[in-house]
Amino acid sequence: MIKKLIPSVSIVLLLLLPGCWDAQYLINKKLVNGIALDSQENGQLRGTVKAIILESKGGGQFNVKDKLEQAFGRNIPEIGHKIDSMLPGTIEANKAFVIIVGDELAKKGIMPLLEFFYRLPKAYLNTKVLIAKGQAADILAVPETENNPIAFDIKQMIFSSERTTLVSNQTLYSLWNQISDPAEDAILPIIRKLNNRSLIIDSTGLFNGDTFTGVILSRNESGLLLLLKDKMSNVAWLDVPLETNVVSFEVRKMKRKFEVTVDEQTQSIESNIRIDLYGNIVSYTGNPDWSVNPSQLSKELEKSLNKQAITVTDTLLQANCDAFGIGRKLKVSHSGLWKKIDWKTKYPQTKLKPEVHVHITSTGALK
Amino acid sequence: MNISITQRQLFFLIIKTQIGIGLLSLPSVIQDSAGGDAWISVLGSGLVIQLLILVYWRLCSQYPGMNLREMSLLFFGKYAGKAVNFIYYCFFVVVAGYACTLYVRLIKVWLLPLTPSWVLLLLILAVGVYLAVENLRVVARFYEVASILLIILLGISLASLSNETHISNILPMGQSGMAHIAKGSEKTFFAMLGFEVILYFAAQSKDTPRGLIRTISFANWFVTLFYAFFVFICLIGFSQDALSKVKEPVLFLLRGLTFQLFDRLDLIFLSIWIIPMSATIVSYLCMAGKSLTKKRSAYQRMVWFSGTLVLVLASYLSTRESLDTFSKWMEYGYLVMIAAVPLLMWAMSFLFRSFYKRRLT
Repeated sequence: MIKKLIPSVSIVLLLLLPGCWDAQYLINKKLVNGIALDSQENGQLRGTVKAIILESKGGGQFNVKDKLEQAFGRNIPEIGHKIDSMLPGTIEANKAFVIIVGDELAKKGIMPLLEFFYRLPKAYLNTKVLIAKGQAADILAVPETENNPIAFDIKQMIFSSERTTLVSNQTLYSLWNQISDPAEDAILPIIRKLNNRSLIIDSTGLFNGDTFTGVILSRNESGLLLLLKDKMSNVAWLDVPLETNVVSFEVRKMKRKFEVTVDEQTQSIESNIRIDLYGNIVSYTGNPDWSVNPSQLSKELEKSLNKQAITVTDTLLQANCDAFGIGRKLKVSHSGLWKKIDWKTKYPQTKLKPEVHVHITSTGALK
Repeated sequence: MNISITQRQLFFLIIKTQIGIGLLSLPSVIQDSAGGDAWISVLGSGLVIQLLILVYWRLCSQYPGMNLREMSLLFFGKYAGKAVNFIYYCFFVVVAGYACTLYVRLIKVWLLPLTPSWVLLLLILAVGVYLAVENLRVVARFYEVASILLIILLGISLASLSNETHISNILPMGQSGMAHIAKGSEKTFFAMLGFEVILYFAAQSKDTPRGLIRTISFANWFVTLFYAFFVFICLIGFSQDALSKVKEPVLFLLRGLTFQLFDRLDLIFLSIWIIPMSATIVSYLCMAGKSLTKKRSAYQRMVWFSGTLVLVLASYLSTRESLDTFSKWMEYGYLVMIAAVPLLMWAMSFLFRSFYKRRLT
């Protein structure tokens, strides 16, 4: 008798009980899709959020709009709690698409700010992290384009910049692993305002540990850095300035060789990065008849790219940003030395030699 | 009562009992002592367990068809043997209660923060008892079917390799030294417990001694490699600093993944993981029942009673702030119950073999 009752009782329990306490209704939530953080003069943080508002158009259709709210506090939860009191519904930051940190704040270290997201089991760690040039709040305050909430737009912009190997693919998750690793430093995309209505994501900010160095690599350098890091996505677009004109080169495939050597006597560290880029010419008007001489043009491209690459590596060394993970290589191959040295003081003295080789595999429909 | 089980069913009984909640936090626990060599610690621990199950195997093959309850009655006599069995019973109930507490804590952190503990406990134990009152063959068949889920879990964890991984985190091998690796092995040992089911369930498998050792060794190495794999992907997927800060790295690892259709794979993983975790509790309820009773009806009553005891114990434990001292005592208890006592029995059977054989007839 009892045996027959158990299944039915269990099913009733299962169906009835679990929903009682942890049921959460979407209509009671105020979803935040973009967060901007800035520092204040009094040491507090200024948090700006974009909360989504669903406006019913009738017939089950919704207009998605967003609302800007701002609050001050000492950490993200405090700001969140204040904003929660300002908005109807419970605030939910665990589906935020982007977190934008103002550059002044980022220079003071970003990990303590983000700790909240790692600790919260509900938090979404595929949120994109960006550094704003100037005030982060201004970025979110840009009027929306095409009636899309601005955070959606920013997310799409990051995706398109990532696809063409302009900025690195950084989420909250990947960022933590990089920053907490002493043998490597992180890089983050920079977002800036062009004029009142446009935003642009095309440059990369360098980190030293968890602090933003303030050094920003420009568009071309940023793409080249990613190629040197062997982080090419589907394609990479390079607009290479030559003496008289600009050649657009689309990289389709690449190979990288990365070596770190240590001189036994002087203990000086030297690393060589050689990349071979294979791709096609998108535009070339250097000759009057537009024809491409692949071997000659690739030499010219190499010359220009090598010059840029040296600027990139010099900037990295000056900023003390080990974006290539030379420390990681050193730790594996020379673990004795690695334990002895303080990598942060040793890194700027290492020699970094980039070498770019260009192979033109196609010139498009023209000769 | 003595319904026989096949070799394959014994295999699944062992692995399902061993694989449980311990794995989720294991990588960060051993990384604290063994660093990048944590995966070697897991293999080392598998080796120790292999030695221990060799002892179990000697006992089981010398006294075929006898489980630990009958063996202890044989070795220690009628009264002392009953006392030993009673201690085993208490031990299994406490282990089940402890496992339930950890389980509920985990679910409260990740999935259902507002649901009261007693509801979760009731749900887990109702299902657990419902399965455990059945005969062993039914339990084993359920484990066998549920093992398909392990393949899904492996698949999900393989997806985590699409995050940025660094093999260099575990290089150079052996950097932390033997002492630290051994310390890591010790910690792994306590996450891999559950192989003591051999002492109770092997009696019901109709296996030759050779077949038995093959099955239980295979089960042990399956679990060891399964654990080593998870530890390995955590080591290469996290920086050392991050790994030491995270409580359940196996779940955390999946938080970085996103697909067009799926997000938050960690929650999907955990929802599936509930089944192996419950299986552990079912096995302990079975062992608790078997450690005191022989007849089927008495066994069923005993399982019901133990289920209630576990519920009370776990409700009490989940109100406690910290389980640290408790888990320390559990570890000592474990060493005595699953290593010291069987070893003592083995030594006794080795020394006074003819005496026990005579007693047996």
